[in-house]
Amino acid sequence: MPTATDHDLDDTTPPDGPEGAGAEDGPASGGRRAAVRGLLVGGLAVAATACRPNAPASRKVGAPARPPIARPPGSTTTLPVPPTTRPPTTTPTTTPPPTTTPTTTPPTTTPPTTTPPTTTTPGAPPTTTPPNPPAPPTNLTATHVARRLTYGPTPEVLARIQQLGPVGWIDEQLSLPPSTDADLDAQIRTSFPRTTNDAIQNFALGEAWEILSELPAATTVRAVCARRQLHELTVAFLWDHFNVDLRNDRAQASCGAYDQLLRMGAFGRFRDLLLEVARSAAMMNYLNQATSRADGSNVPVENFARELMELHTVGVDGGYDEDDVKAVAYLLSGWTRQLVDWQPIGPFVFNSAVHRLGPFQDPAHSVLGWSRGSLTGEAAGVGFISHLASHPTTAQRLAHELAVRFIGDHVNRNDAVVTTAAQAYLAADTSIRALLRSLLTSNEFAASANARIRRPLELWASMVRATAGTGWNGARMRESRWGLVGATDSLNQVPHWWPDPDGYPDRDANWVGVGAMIGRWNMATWVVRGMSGVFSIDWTAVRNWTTGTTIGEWFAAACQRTGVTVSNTARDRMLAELYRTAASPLSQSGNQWAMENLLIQILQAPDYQTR
Amino acid sequence: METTTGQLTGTEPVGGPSRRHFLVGAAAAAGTTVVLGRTGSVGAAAPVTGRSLIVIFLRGGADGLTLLPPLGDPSYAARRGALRVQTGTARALSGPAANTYFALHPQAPRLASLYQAGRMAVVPAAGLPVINRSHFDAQLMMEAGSFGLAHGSGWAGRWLNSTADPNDHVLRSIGFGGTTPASLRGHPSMVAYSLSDLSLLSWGPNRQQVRTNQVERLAQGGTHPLLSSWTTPTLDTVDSLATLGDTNLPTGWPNTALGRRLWPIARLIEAGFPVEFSHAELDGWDTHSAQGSPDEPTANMSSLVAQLDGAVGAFFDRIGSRVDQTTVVVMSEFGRRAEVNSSGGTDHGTAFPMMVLGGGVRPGVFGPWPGLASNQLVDGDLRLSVDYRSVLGEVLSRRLGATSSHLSTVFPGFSNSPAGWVGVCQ
Repeated sequence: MPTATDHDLDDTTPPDGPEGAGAEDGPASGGRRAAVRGLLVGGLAVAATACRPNAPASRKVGAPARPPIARPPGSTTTLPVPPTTRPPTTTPTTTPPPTTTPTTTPPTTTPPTTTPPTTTTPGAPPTTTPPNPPAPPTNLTATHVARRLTYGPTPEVLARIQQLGPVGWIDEQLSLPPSTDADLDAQIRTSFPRTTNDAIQNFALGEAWEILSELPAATTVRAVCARRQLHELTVAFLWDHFNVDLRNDRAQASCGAYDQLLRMGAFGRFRDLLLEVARSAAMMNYLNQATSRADGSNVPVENFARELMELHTVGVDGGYDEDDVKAVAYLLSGWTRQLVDWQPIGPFVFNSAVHRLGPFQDPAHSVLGWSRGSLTGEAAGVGFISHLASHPTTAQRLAHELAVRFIGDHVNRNDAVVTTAAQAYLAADTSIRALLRSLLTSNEFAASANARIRRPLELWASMVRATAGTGWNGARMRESRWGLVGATDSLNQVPHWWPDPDGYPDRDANWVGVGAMIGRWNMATWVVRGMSGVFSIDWTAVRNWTTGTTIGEWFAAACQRTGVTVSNTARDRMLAELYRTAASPLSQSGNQWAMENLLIQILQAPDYQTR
Repeated sequence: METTTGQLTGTEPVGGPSRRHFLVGAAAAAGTTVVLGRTGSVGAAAPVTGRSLIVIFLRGGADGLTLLPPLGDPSYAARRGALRVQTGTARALSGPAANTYFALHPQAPRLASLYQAGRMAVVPAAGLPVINRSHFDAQLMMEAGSFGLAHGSGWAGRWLNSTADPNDHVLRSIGFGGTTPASLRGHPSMVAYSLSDLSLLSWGPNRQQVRTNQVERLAQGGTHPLLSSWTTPTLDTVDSLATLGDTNLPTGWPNTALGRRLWPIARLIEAGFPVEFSHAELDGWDTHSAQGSPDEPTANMSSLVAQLDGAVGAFFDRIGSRVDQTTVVVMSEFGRRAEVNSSGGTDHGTAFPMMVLGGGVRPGVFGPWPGLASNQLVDGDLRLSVDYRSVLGEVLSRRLGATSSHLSTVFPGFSNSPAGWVGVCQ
């Protein structure tokens, strides 16, 4: 683990937090985070008056305006079940191959110099012919699709799903070009420049450590605003799968380029992504690959070699042992980045001077069914990584991880839905898109409504989407970055701040508990009363959720919009506490105060915590 | 958890499965609020063991040679030059385990008092058994305690999980300062900035409104089972903590980063909440430059020591007689190099003086001192003489009743037996 350069590289963090309040603390400390709190509290006074949502108006995000969904009047409110009569014949019978990956090489990463062999190695798994895809489930509802496959339903999303049908909408989400969110990308580049730069650019820009707040803030804004919502959720999955801790001083400045890399590869071939990750400055520094060397008496660092198999591909029980880890560490020795100011953050290079094949000196030496044959140098490493991507065990494990994320943590690794998705992935040349489509059009997915507990970012973003919409105040975005970090801070899921290579946990049980429940309830209060400054609630628009004139009608509309069910008795009790009845006019004095209180209670409801 | 059996017989006996509390179970049975105390203490029954372990993590790599200067080492003065602690102003280690070889920093009067009172043990050359000079890697390895064998969990989290009981009080473990420390991961411990974080925001619905709303919603049925099982304990905890009243820092309490983090722990322990494990941390120990003279109170290092000293002193003052049940461990990811660098600071080293304070401590200085002479250093560093896992293992065993089986879960791959302990606990 110790290397000659560790000592030189680990002091790049700033001496102080960005806020004066945290001055005696280090960069990732409570002091700075206490300052986050301060900003949020300070934001309270501003939010209600100064910020209007969707300003400037031209920033409106989402599908073209559509008439509101007709909702039946009534006091017991659930979202209407949309028609699901889309004829199955319009569904493609085979998954289209990925169309975006080959052209999306991120700026800091050199393309492979050797075309990875995919099927020529002796141990390569047979390509499995997928079974005929089953007909899309007929019980797949718009409500479920909107709740599970976005960061929270909006009227625009629901309308689009009803227009295209659930499967049609899923296919659209899987194929929207990146330009769909060009305006959002441009805003983020302006407000959070370090999130799209590589490390060299970030050091040139100065205060490179600002990415510590910029990247979580950018991710939080994207969660609310992106039109490519399924893409955004997939990127979040990939960050957990290929986790790099933004607080790691070696990797930090490279995390902007890394985020771009994951975004561009999210729906592409997993093999391409795996290779890009293996060559990325962020991962290579985070897991010490960049300083690994096998020349002379040096023993290569095992860290990346281990996680490549344990976390990125076949899994800890995937059929390798400690000797294999050591052998792969040799195989990948020499994979590094050019030194820039003594830091390995430049372009990817294969440094043959520090490379040795180790056990793979023997052309027949086999790990996980792969041997190098005539391949040497960098090409041998590329060959092995490519082999891992299309290994059936990788396919099954990746399909299971995605099934847990998108269907629920009740799915077992060998369930048919997982196996089917893994086969789709292999048949489509390791296409993540094909794997996702298989999962999301399964009966298991359709039957999993509300099975998952919203993770903190999902909860926060859904509350904002439900109450403030998806417009943003670009002028305030940068100054609000620590407030955006604070959105998930109290529930311990600040994006990209997970310290271990395994990513934020993905079991429902990880996200509940006494502290978490208090945090969830308080989050509703923060969102409705506070907001970050970037998003704020337009109470005139909220009042107009109903065309009716009574607070009872408004309450029904609010429940419908948020998917929460409240009985008339409970409603009347809440209203009585606010000195109102269901028939009280919406024009009554203090009406916003009443709507705020009711909205908080709706968002605190247990049925709002799931998706 | 099973009772203490097997080889670790140096431990006082600890109770069986009921040794912790009843908040979850009792409150569920009672179906109402705050019927939790057995003795009228605030909102919570006293624990059967009554013991607490608080880890204070000094992030950044604290300079142990200044915090606990080895004045008796013939090479110390030459190694440290202007940064050295002077004999005249050093705080002596007096009392029942008086030691003249070591002393404490001039800004550590409270620690010196604790030592004098027989409440402090020091292990001057403890730490990670592998040299890793990256803050990030070293902290993570140390707090994970598993050296790559278990992702996503920390040593304290594994301790709590391996001894979890359905009757555990929800405050059995709690961290203050923000993000879940790596040591606690794997266990759904609470982590908060302050006690007010564990209350409902005053500008939202009040406690009764939230309770009514939640109970009504749960009665509708169809809720995710995890939500229904956690809601009542949460409501009860909120009510229970509300009985603490004003939780702001009291007058005279050190309003420092560490002070603010130790205050809620002291308040909970003082009030009888059964906090078994807690974590607080202080950043800023990465003194590469201008570390300053120990005799200059406002110097960089001096103010850090003063902050540690003041907060720990206030903590023990506040908990009063509960000191016998409360043990504090101070640790850092590494110490610093023996030599001063050209910027008047010190660079990343290896061993660090772990400190164990409070209840059940055997006072004294423990473990071999490797020495600062050229031929005693390793690559310019103080050589490590005690694995930090053996210090924590001893504390867990002798204070909290960990068995050898628990310790092999808490620190997998490490042989933690009494034979290897240095004896920081009675």
